[in-house]
Amino acid sequence: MMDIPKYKWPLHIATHPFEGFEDLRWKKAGSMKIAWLIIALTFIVGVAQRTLTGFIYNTSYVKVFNVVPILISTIVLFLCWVFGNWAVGTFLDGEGTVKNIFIFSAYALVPKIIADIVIIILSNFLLHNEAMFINIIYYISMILTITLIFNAIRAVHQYTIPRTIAAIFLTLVAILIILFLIVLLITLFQQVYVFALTIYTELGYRFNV
Amino acid sequence: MITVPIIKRAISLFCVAVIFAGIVMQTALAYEPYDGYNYDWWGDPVPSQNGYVPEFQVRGDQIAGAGSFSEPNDLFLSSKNEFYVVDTKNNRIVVLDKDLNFLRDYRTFINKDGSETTLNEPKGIYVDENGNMYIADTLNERVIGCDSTGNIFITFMKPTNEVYPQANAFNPVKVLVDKSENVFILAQGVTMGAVMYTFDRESDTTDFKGFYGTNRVQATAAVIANKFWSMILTREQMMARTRAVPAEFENFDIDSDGFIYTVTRSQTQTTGILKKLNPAGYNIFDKAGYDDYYFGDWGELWYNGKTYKSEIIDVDVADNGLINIIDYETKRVFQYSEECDLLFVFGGAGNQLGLFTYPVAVESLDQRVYVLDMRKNNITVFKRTTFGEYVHTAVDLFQKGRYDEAIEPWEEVLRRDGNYWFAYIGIGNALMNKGEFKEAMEYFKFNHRRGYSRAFKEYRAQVLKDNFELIIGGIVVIWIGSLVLVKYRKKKKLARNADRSGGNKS
Repeated sequence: MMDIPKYKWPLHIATHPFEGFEDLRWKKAGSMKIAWLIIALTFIVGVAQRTLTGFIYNTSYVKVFNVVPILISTIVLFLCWVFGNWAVGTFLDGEGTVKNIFIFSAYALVPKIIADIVIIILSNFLLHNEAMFINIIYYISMILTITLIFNAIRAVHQYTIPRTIAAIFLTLVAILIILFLIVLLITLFQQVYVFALTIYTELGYRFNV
Repeated sequence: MITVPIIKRAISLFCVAVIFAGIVMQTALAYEPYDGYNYDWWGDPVPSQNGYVPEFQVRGDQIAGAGSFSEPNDLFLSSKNEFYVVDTKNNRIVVLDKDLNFLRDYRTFINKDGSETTLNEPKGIYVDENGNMYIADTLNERVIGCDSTGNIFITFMKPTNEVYPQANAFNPVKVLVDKSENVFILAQGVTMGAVMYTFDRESDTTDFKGFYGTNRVQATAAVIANKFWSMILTREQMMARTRAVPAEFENFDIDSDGFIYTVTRSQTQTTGILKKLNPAGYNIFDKAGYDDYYFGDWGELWYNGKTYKSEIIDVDVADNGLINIIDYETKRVFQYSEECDLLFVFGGAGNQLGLFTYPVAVESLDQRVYVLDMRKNNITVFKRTTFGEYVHTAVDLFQKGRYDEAIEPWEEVLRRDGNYWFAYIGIGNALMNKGEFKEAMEYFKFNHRRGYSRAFKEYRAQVLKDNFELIIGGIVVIWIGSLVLVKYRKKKKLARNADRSGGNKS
């Protein structure tokens, strides 16, 4: 059984939220290429959400388009999640490798991507007072995605339910720490750069006179 | 070889003409010391044409017979089109006609017993249809009502009722009287709203009716923190902390329908800066927190190292429903339509004609707006431009629901200022009336979400109706096609399985 080609696995998981990841783990059918494709899609959908959402539902400031916030809120955030979870997993006897965490987490995002695309399309056809449909799709996709992420972490590390909850909470903390360290690093390098620049200009003054 | 010098000469002539035109145009531009602007869909200020330009300014001593003003605090336009200037530091009321010529002034008033009395730094005045004056005699702690000859027929003192905080002084600064002779008084430091009085002329009695149209305390972080502490601390400890009180009304005006417009001078309060109160004291300019009305400049402005946030200190409602308010912080006048749509911004800080140092009162009559400056001791008169005239005509027709007639002035407005957002809404509504929904959508986009939604609803219905056969046909084709496809695949699968099992057997 389970003779599904690799590209059909994400959809199989989305439709089987509770045993899908165990099957994936058992079959070792996860593909890094497909995972990267899904992450790229989240980014593309993020861009589309800003630019293609119908006017009635579009609240973004469309005068200026900046890709960096979308990049950070999709790809960077996802990578932080993967490495944060891997770090937590090593503490909490998790069995997941970085590669597996990456694949499983990415596969969990499929319903969110599909729902976002449907919402973008619907937003171009629905009126102001028909927002209910969009809200329903949004909430269903959110519940499904959260369930999937939970089960992905549970399956990839072979955790019990309480341990999964603890791991997810600690991963969120780890993400904050990672982001903090990145910001710290950037500011430090900036100061080093300013220091070097000051010395350069100072020397420039000395030798010119 | 001859052609070259001709071209050269032509070029030089052209250059001279351009420079000359530049000089002429520059002097024409220098006429207005400020640039008009408006706000777009995203709340960004965009340059706009000026709706009002300064015509002239006049000081008290430039008016024959009036004498110079000294910190005048209020300007009132009566229903007989006479201007009443409250000349605070000179303790008098000056009456001017509508061309700002001196008519008369009041320095002394006659009490009922025949004795004379004078004012002590009056700050506000209201004149009713019969010419009766109600003067907020601030430092004498009273409001007097007198007829046009100066005979006092009623005096309002500090209410003796416990509802009025007896520890507070009673320094009335502004006064209003509605058609049924209810008197509304704004007193300094009274945060409960306007003091409301009724009176009886025959028996010479006044009756304190309570407060009218109180502001609410805005739930800022400090207020919520106080609420939290009040659960823990004792009553004595709470008394020692600063209390959150609502901001007091700074000024008010009444329109011809009896609605009272109040303004609150506050940088922290964001809602209810300008209120339109019905007789029950309920604010009509209220969207209950959703998509609130905004008055003055949006948010905080940062300019030349100083932050600005609007502080509205006076309101004037014209007979045609237009609302003018003064922002003390930027010294600008903002003009709104009846429905609170920002039409024009004019004025500014400075000493030139058309700029102010301390504008305190605004009034409007026909095509002119009059602003009283307390520090410059003068009145500046603004006159409507052609652009302003087109906008006003269009807005007037628009608010009467005559969208089709409004389309012509709106188009003229757009020819003069392509950024004027209200014109797009006006034309959009006219196109809706004509049934041109797709075009209406284009006009509403980035200007009016609800209008766009309405136009889109009609357009969607139209498209569905026009292509009904196509859509139904498409659905049927897809349905049958998918059925056939499923059947075909099933068959193929069966055949494959049969092949495989057949192969196994052999």
